Amino acid sequence: MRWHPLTVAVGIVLAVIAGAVWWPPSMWLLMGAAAGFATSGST
Amino acid sequence: MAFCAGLVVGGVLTGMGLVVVGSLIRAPLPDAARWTIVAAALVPVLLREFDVLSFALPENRRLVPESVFRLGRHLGPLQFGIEMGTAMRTYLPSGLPYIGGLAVLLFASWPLAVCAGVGFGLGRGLMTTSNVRYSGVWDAEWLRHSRLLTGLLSAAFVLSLFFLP
Repeated sequence: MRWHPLTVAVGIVLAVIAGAVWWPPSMWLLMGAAAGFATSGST
Repeated sequence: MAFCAGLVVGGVLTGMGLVVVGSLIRAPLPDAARWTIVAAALVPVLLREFDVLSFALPENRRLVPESVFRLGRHLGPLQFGIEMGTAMRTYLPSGLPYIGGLAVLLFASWPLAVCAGVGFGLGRGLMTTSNVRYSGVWDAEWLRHSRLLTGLLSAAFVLSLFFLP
């Protein structure tokens, strides 16, 4: 994968929207993914 | 690969630990009280994400020691990943995992805590996998767009909180 950080972030947003509409149980996974990827920045 | 697997294992371990503790805490609290706690914690953390507020959150401010690699080519990265995946053995530059942890603590069943932990590990793994092969300087791109990234990831996080089953 050679994804730009914005590509990943937009992908997570779109996945959350899709998950909310079609499969709410995935929200737990996507909530974790958003939180996990948010820790990518340096301190 | 072993590192990313470790991240997922670490996230799951933390999620399961939170369910154990949470099952003791949440019993006397009605749903409304638990959501109030999450919302009350979320607001200041979001303000912190956007640099409106500045306060320290508990974190283990150190790097995972390089000595983990003494375990070899696979076990070393695996342990490194597990330590990072637990979110308790190194820096944590965002406050969102704290709110995610609180949601798991107060609401998640075992399977849902595993899902949240896997998601956290995958989220951290996305950084590694996209960073390593990126043709430019991935961290510089992150810094350049940090405000927008914070907005997108906070929006995704809050939206997912609203739709938690």
